[in-house]
Amino acid sequence: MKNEKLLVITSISKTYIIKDLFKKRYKRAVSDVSFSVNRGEIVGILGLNGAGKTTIIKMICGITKPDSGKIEFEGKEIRPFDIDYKKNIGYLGELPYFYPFFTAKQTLEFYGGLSDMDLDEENIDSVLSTVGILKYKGEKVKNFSKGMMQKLAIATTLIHNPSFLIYDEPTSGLDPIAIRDIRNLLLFLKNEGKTILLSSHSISEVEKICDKVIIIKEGKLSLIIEKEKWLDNNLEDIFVNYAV
Amino acid sequence: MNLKTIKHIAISSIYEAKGSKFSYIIFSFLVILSYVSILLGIMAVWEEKKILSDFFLSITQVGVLFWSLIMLATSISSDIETKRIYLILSRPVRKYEYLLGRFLGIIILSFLIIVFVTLIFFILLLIKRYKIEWGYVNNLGFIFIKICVISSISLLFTVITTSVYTSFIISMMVWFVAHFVNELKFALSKINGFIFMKYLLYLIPDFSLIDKKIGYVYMFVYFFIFTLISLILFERKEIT
Amino acid sequence: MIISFKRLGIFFFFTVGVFFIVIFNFNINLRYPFFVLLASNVTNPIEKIISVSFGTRNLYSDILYIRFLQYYGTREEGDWEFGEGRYPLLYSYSKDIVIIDPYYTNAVIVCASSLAFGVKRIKEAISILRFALSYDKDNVKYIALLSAILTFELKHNIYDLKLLDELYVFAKMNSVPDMIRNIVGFLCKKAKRYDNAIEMYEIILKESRDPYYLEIAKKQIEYINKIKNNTLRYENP
Repeated sequence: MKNEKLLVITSISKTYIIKDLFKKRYKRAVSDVSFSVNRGEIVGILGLNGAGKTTIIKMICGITKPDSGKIEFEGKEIRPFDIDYKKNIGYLGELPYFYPFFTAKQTLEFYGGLSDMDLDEENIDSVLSTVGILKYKGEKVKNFSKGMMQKLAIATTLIHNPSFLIYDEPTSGLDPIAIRDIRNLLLFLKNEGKTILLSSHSISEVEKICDKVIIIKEGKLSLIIEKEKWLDNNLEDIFVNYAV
Repeated sequence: MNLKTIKHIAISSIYEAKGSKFSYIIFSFLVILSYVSILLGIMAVWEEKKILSDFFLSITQVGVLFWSLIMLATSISSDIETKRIYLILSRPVRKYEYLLGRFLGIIILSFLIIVFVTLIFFILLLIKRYKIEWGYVNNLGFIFIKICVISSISLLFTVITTSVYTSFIISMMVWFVAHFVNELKFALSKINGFIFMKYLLYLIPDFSLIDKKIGYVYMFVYFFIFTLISLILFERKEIT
Repeated sequence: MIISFKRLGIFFFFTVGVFFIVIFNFNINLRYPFFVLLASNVTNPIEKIISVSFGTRNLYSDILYIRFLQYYGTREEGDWEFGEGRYPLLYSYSKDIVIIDPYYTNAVIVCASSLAFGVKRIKEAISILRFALSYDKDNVKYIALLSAILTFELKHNIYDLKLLDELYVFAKMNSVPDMIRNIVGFLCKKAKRYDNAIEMYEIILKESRDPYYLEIAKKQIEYINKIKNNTLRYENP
């Protein structure tokens, strides 16, 4: 099942309307992007700031509706804002922000509840232990460090046991130890059979864990490259050639 | 419509609102004013019970009004600004379910605050050996339904503008005008012309009509319509 | 565009709802005095606007009442008896209360009584009660005080016929007690409004269950009929 296509994106585009006081401006955020993600892979999306990575991710998660194009998940086309499809995905935002007065446990209960899960203590402990913050279970989120917050965010994406994980810059703003922890966690999840799509600025991180990299430049698909191809070359040089 | 999801979001909304600093400020304000009411009651000699009753009704009304308008606007705006809403909408949650859950959470907590202040009042009455009048509960019903209507208007403007200040100011203006609509209708009925104003006044809620026979139904229809419009607009809104 | 039953249903309820509230809004329910009556010697119009616009009218009327009590409770300079004095602003304080809340019975009664029997300004007291009664027509206490003031005037040989006629109309209402009807009947008789007096006593005979007032009513009707028969024509005082 290794080459089974889990997600297929075909020619998706998105234009934002920016309303100023007297006129409207149109900003083409994503233009005609197509790619696929195989089951069990970790796929990275690389691009400069404002390239359109987050917009692509938002369209895949069903937060934003694409203006054109098609998104297929497990062979079925997803209609905009399809609810059932979202049970199979776990999304981590660029800056995860939780209700500060909730504890880690309450946060997981909240997000698990949104996915229609009836969670027991065992489920919660298992997920917190996977991400390595079990001992902070009863701690309020407002007291968490950035690294712990990121781990909690990953825990919220795992609580409903989705097959497809979508992470928007999971290592952004973290110290080297925390980055290493996240990286190991992602590899662990891949071994557990999860499929991961992640976006990042950090070429070194993407190099270490991704099976495939998609480079986006100014909202357009610039290059799709498999891991075997960049092992011989420097991914950074490839990125500079295709993303800048 | 998944009622379990709506209930879940409503409960989280209640927890979040309960823990916020603004809630503590309003709560302290209400407790201090409860003490002030005792002093005011003493000054009124034979009208102590009426003054206590009117005072508690007023502080309940004004306190819950400010609390609900600000909490509603800040909770939804902060979800959008911090992008927390993406984490919620990436789950199997429809936009209108999220909005309805947030809104109902604030309404339910408003109701609980009203109950809490009423309990303080009843305890005070019992200490002073006055009889509890159930007409007071009827007045509380009026207050609650007015708060629901004005909260639904605040919800609409929060959806349209996503600015806390704009939503709060417009809601307060509607609150003020709704208490004067009756007088304005009376004045305009004596003058020829001003047709547009007259028609506009027929659309603004008239709080003086609440004590008519089907006043509650009238207020509920307003509440329903404004909430429905808010949900429809939010469902179509692009969240960036 | 595909129109589903759900959308049609929402559209239908929306239309019916808007129609209902527009029709309901045709009611003009001027329960309180028109807000234009703001001018006052003793209060700021801004206070009135703020209190009414926040929906705290009743509390504001309580505060005005406390101010009234403080004003009237402060002894004036000079050699005055208890409760007596000039108190030039007493009418202004009373007027403010009755404009903000004419249904505040106890306060209006205290204000009118203070004006009538405390500082002996009957006209001002009557003006306050008249204003309150124009909004709270069923208020028996206001009618009772009005009749008490008229009786007081009568002791000083003052006949306020216009007020008597108004009181007569109020006294015919269902909720008015026999005692007040009896007083009004007596006042009408004294003012030579014989037909009004007879009508009042007939109402007592028809509606009262108190044998004391029934007895009085019978006797008074007999007496007034004798007076009427003894006079050649109805004398307008």
